[in-house]
Amino acid sequence: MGKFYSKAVNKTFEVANYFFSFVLIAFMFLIIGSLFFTTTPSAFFQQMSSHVVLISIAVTFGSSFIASLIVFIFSVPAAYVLSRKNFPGKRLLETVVVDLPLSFPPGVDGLILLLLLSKTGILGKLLGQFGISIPYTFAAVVLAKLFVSIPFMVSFVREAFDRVDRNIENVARTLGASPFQVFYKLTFPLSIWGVLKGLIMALSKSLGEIGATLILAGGLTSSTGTMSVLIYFATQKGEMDKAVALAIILEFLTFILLTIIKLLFKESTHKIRA
Amino acid sequence: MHKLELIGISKSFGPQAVLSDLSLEISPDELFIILGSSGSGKTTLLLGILGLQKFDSGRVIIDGRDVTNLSPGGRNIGYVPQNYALFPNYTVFENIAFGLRLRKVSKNIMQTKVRLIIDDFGLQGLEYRFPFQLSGGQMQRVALARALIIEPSLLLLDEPVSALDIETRQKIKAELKELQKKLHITMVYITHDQQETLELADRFGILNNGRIEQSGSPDEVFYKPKTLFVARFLNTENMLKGKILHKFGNEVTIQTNDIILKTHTSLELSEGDQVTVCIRPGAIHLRTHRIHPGKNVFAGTIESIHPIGRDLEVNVLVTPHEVLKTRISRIVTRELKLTHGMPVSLSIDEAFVHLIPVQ
Repeated sequence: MGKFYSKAVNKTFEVANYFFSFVLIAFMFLIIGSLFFTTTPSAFFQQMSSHVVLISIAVTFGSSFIASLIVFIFSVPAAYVLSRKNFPGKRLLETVVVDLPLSFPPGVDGLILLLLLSKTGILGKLLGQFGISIPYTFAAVVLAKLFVSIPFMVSFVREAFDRVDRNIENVARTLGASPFQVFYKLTFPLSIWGVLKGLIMALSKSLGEIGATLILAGGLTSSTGTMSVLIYFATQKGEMDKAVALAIILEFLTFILLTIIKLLFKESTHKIRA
Repeated sequence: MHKLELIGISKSFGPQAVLSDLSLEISPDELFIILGSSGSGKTTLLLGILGLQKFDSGRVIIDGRDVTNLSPGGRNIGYVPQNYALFPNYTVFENIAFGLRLRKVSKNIMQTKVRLIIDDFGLQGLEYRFPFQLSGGQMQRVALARALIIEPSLLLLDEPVSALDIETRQKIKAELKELQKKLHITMVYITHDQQETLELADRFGILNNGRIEQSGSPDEVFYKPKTLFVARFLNTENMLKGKILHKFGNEVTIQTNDIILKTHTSLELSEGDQVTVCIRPGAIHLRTHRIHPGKNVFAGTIESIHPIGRDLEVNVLVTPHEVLKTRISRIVTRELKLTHGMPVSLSIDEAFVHLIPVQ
């Protein structure tokens, strides 16, 4: 009786696993694949040759690459400090720089940035004295993307630095390497997969970002209309062919970036094991 | 021929003092082992000597030169950590050449030196391999070669054989000893392994409560522990409580629970003083035939026999309340046909009856 019961439970468990996995996978495929069934190749290519779509692709790519570059320049030193130095308030700093922005609901980032950079905001007032206004410009798009992707980059790079054996750095120091030499000859090269993963993650986050961009940059002008923002406005206006064409491109790019991340992860895991 | 002096070293982390007023002198060409359990401050001491961590106070002196405030590279100390810490992104050749490259040694000289040390360490054919392609023993040799190529004043080794299998460990230990004699280099070796310490050290020091509790040659410390901590830490098998019955010059008679022992001591003791008597099993000789009890000779019966590594520990009940432990090889035990309850005689070498005064 007990044996039969145990067998039945195990069989049910196995069937349940397959059933729920199948439903989930079918659901995901349906959502992702539905994009391709709601348009035709001719409609897609017609949209692709539209001036507005092409500009939005350029704005999205341009702003995302600039944002990722700035994120890289600032995040690597910040991640290094967080990984290697101990100082009072470090945990608080990590929460503010990494954890909190990661958990912000979409739009809150934009609101914070807008409040900061509007004419009455602390930074906005200061920049205004030099005749600079950020909101609703291309710079606002970059800034919005920057703000949402920094936590990802810092978090990934910090993790990569943490994984570098401190003994390796110690030995290098005893052999005469300066802290900078240790960093560029060992710590950074040994963290390169993590840095690249962080960079691609930041780029993919930038490409799809909408909340902060919409609030801070608006997206109604040609210099601020990113693909995500344009998808939003197109669906609002019922221009589904345009929305779908842009969504397919974004989906494809995200797929490529995620594949690269997975490959990098495999590579770095292999190297770590080795 | 380099000498290391540590003077009044202290280091605390918050309220916890890890090293307190530690002083130590390591002679030129000596293989000195710092022996301590986990958390005894070994790593803190090592990082401080290397200059990778600042001591709160105290001085590090190498050959009379105060290096306390020098950078790790300026101290010229070779370092081999426990996991070897080979640079994974460099080949064996590049790992070994790393220190020379930083010193901007010319390419020709560098290549000659690296080739020589590669030959010395038997690493030929491995030059262009990456660390993950090496065995534990090969990694160890590369780490040593990398540390030694800069011709350091002294070499610091942090548990360098603990990650190896027994066979390779024995081989590397022998090689290390040989290397030290060949290169006349002062080595400071950190470990928690007593066996390793007794096998390798010219002298060693036991780290406890942030200080060197006792230092000396293995025989000196092993057979003559100065404190109860050292005796316990080194697993002194026979530790008997006793008191001084008579003292005549250096000759003393001690009464333990049930037996009377005689020995010589230079300690300032008086009759009636409480002591702990320490006797290593190797100093207790077991015989299967009865000897008439006399000076440090006792009759008893075997209470139990336990395997300890390659030997057997034989516990002999010499009085209803006193057990003495001795150690005999398995072969001898078989030859003597030792069994539980068998009557035997024990004689204790007077020179190895050591006393620790009870404070």
